[in-house]
Amino acid sequence: MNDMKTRGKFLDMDTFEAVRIDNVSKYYGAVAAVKDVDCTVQSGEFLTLLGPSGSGKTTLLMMLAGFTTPSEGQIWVDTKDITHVPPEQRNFGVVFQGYALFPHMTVFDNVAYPLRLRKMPARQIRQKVEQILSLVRLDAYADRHPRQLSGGQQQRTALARTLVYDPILILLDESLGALDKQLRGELQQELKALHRQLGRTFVNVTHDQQEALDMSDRIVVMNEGGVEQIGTPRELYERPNSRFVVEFLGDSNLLPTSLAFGGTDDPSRSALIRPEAISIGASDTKPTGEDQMMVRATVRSTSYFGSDQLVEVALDSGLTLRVRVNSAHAIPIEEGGSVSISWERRNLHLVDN
Amino acid sequence: MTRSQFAYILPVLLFLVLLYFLPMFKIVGISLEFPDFDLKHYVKLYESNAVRRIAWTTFVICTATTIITVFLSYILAYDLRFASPGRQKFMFMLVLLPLWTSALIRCVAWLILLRQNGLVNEALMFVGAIDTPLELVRNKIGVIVGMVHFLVPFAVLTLYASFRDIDERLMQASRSLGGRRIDTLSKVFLPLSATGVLQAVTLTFVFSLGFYVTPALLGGGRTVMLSEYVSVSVLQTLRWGLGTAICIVLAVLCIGLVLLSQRAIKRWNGAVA
Ligand SMILES: Nc1ncnc2c1ncn2[C@@H]1O[C@H](COP(=O)(O)OP(=O)(O)OP(=O)(O)O)[C@@H](O)[C@H]1O
Ligand SMILES: [Mg+2]
Repeated sequence: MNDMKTRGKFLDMDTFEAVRIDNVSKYYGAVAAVKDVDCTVQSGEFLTLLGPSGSGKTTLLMMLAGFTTPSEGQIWVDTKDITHVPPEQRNFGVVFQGYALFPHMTVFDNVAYPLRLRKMPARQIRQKVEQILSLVRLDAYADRHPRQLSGGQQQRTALARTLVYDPILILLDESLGALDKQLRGELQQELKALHRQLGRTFVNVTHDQQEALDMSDRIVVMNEGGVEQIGTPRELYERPNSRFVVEFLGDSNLLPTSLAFGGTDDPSRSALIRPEAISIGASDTKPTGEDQMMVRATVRSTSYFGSDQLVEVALDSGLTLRVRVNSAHAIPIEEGGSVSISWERRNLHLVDN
Repeated sequence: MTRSQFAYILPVLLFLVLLYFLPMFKIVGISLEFPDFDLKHYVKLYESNAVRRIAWTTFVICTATTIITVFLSYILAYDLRFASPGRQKFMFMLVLLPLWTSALIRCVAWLILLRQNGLVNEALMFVGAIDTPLELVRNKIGVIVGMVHFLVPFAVLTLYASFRDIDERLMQASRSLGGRRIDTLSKVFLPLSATGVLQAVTLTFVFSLGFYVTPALLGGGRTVMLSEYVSVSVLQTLRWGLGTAICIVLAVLCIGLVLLSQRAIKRWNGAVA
């Protein structure tokens, strides 16, 4: 891969159908940081790698970027094997954890850097940089140095520096992780809008499930180096295929099948019911339909969140369930009080134990 | 500071006063003909052609030594910074090894290598690169070689320490943006290493001003530097006034250089990081 042709080819390539991660593993000594990952990034989608700390997200992203070489497996862009193509020839964009802005350059020079490397004429550079800086609303900050920027402005500078040369794939590593909650929410919306506007392909790493659910077209849930499940946010939330995904995404209750459906128990599986799918009523409420399951319970505790309320109830069997009650239709609930709780069988989802 | 804290640092304080500050005052005193206040040694120093010649030689040798040392050390330290842990350990050993060898032995070793019928000349003649042996020792070249050899470990350690502070992700960012190795080195690494280079230059230059054994042996009496001249003045010609005056001028020069470079580094850091 030492000839200029490869370099030229990659810089010329401006679309692709899919980036394929083909059975990739990465070992550090005996430890598998990434193990047998199979996954495809579709052109134009916003894909999120979600998983707890140490699950191999950064390692996988760095293999996509070209900084880490897989121990096994290949990475393909359509029919091209790029496993051993160095990062500078991939024409991907990377927003690093901590942003990695050049401290000795102004915002303008940071953003102009990739264009200067591509030997673009100065006038054109000025035009492109100004255009992209106004896109991320940083026009007024062009002459500042990174240390003179807030966290959010640094993040947007890093994003601008990555978008300015139209990379075919944009990789982000916890790019919002260091920001406070409100700012993170704002930047999530901005990033989402940018994705829609530019139609580029994004791969985002996060361990924030809310961010993943909100922004992604599809999510790859990772655990201990492997892929646990891939799907749209809705699929993962409503039809998780393992206890890990259940517990990692959103709030959940896992019930023995006999209790959930009535009838005999299946010890190999549990039934998932989300807290918002459980209703709570006065203790003398009667079941209303065939599909409904109803049991008596005692209120253990309540937490008030404004728009809704999280109620913890204990069944006679000792099992505790979490119930999310919309504040608009709440019945009076007091701790220690007796209530009836109910759910529809169709809202249950079976997972293997 | 409490009384007990003071008691703890007292030994160090005494040590400094007795072995450092008192002799320093004594030297200042001698150079000024204490209890008189006579600047005649300094005037002599300024007017003497011999001193002027030696000062110029010293300046040339120290500058050349500094440039060569920092250049070589930059390459070594850069390689060290990005080497695998195993290779790093091995390289550190090689860099530090000379520090465990006495300066005298190292000089003699260079003498053997570089003299007329030494290994280097013999090898060059053998392969036919030269017909007559080169003058590699008992002149400036010999002195510079010896001094560079002595100073490289110090410069490498100084540079390596500052290189380690440069975030590796900045280099990765440069590559991901399309920068080849040379782009990343010249546009990102080099500018960010400027303060480290300045530190290494200052250290090397100040150190090299004080060299005494190496020039005496490898210069072979023909290349005299200020420190050696001080020793000759004090031990052989017994002109203590002149010798101490040179010492004071050198000391002031060194302190000035260090302060100047610290200021430059501070200013640079303020502008950049
Ligand atoms: N260079 C390395 N050498 C040895 N082990 C490594 C290296 N890089 C990563 N690992 C190990 O591989 C595993 C996965 O690390 P990785 O950084 O990919 O996790 P992550 O999902 O990004 O975690 P986080 O959310 O904390 O950033 C970890 O157990 C880590 O200790
Ligand atoms: Mg990570």
